Amino acid sequence: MKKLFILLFLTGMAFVPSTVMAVSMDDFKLNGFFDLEYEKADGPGHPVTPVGDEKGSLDQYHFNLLMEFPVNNQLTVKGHLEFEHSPKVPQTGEIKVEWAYVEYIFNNSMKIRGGSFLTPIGIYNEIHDATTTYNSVRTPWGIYRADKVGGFAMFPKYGTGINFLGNYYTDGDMYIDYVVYILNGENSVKNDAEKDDNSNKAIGGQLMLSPISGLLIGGSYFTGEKGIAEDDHSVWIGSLDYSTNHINVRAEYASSKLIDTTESGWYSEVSYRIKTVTPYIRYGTLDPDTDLNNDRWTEIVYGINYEIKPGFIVKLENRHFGGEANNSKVSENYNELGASVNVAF
Amino acid sequence: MIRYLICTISLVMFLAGSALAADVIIVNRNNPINDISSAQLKNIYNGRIKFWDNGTKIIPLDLVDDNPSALRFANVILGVDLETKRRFWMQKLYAGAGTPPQQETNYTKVISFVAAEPGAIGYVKKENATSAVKLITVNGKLDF
Repeated sequence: MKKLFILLFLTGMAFVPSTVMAVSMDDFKLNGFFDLEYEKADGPGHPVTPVGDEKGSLDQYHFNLLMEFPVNNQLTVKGHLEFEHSPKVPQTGEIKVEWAYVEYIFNNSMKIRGGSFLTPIGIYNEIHDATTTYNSVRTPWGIYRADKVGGFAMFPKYGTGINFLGNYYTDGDMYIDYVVYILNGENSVKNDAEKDDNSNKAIGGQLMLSPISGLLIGGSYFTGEKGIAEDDHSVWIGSLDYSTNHINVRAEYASSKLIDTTESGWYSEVSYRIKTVTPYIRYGTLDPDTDLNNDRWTEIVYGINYEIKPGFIVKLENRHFGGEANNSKVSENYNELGASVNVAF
Repeated sequence: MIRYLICTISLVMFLAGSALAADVIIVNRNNPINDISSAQLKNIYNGRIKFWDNGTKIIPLDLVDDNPSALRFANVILGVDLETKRRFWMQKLYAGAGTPPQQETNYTKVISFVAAEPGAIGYVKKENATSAVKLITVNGKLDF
C-alpha cells in the first residue's frame, strides 16, 4: 500500500505540466525572520551536567530565509534555509534546509507535496523556529523539546517523503484542515533526506477542526521504526486553541512511546493582547517515563510580548523550572530570565 | 426648533457619512460571478479557496493597513482586527501554508490590477469603483 502511494505520487508528478523557462522574478517570494536572545539562569539545574546558563549569554539564534518559486498556477517549489546560532567553521552552529519541496494543487480541497518538510505534528512543530509567531521566547519544551528536559524526542522534527493535505470548508465558519503523509522516518546513521536506515516507512496524519470561528480542535499521529535497530516509535497529540482578537488559550497533550518507554507531556498557556502588548503565562510538564517515579520536569513561564512595529517584537519572560531527583537532565529547580528581539520580514 | 434642526442635520450627515464610507467587492469584468457569500469571501482571503469555479486562479488583493477600508474589510468580512489578521498570516507564511494577499497602497491600484487580471478580486470604496471592473454583491448586498 505504501509503495503504491509513492508510485502514484511519482507517476502523477511526471504528468504535471511544467515549464523549462526560468521562473519570473515577479512571482518569486522571499521572506524570513531573525532573532537575538538573551538567557541567564540563577542555578545549574543539574549538579553534574548544568543546563542553566548562569553566566548569561546572547544568542544570535535564527536567521532564516523562506523562498517560493511559483512555476505555474498549480505548481510551486518552496524552500526554507536556516542559519542557527550564526554558524562558523569550525565552531558550532547549524545551517539547515528546514524544508524543500514541490507542491501541486489539484483543487481547492487537495494538494500534494513531495520533498523534505517539518513534520505536521501539534500546533508548534511547523513554526517552532519562527519565534515571531508565538508569544513566548520558546516553544513548550515538555512536548517540543522533551529530549532537552529528561525525555526522548517525542517525534521527528523533520521528514522526507510525501504529504497529501488540504481542507474541507462549509459556507459558514466551520472548516477542517487535514494532512496524511508517508516518510522515510527517523534515522540513526544516514541523512533521511537521502537514504532510509530501514525499509519500513513511517506514516502519520493530522486533523484540525474549527467548528466555530476562533476555535481549533485537533489531533496528530505518527508511527514509524527508528534507525537501523527499527525501534518502534509512535506518538499522538491532542491540540486545542481558542482565539479572539485579544485572548488566546492554547493547550496540548502528547504521549510518545519509543520501544518500551512511554513519556507524556502537556502544557496550557493563556495570553491577553492589549493593542501591541501581550502578557502571557504558561504551565507545562513532562513525565519522561510513566513507569518511573520522581522524574517529572515542570515549567512556569510568564512574560510580556511587545510588538513595537509590525513584525518587530521584543519579549521578556521569567521561567521557573522544576526538576525531580530522577530526571536525567533537570534534577534541581532554577529560574531563568529570557529576552529576545524578533524580526519578521 | 433649533434642537430639531441640529438633530436633523446630524442625522443627514451621519447617513451621508455612512454611505460614503461603504466599500464594495470588485472582480474582473470577465468573471461570471455576480454574488459571493461572506463565508466564501473569508475563505478566499484566508487562503482556503484558491480557484474560481471555472478553474481560474484567484488573486485576492488587500489594501495596506492604514487604509480605512482595510480595517472595515477585516472587521466586517474576516471578523478580526488588523493585528489578528497579520498574526494569522505570519503563522501561515512561516509554516509554508501560504502567503498573504498582495497589499496595494490605494484604490486606483486595486482597480487597475483587478481590471487586468482575470482571477483578481479586491475591495474599494464604492465611490472609487469604475466601469473597468465589475461590482459583485456579498450575500445579495452590494456594499459592506
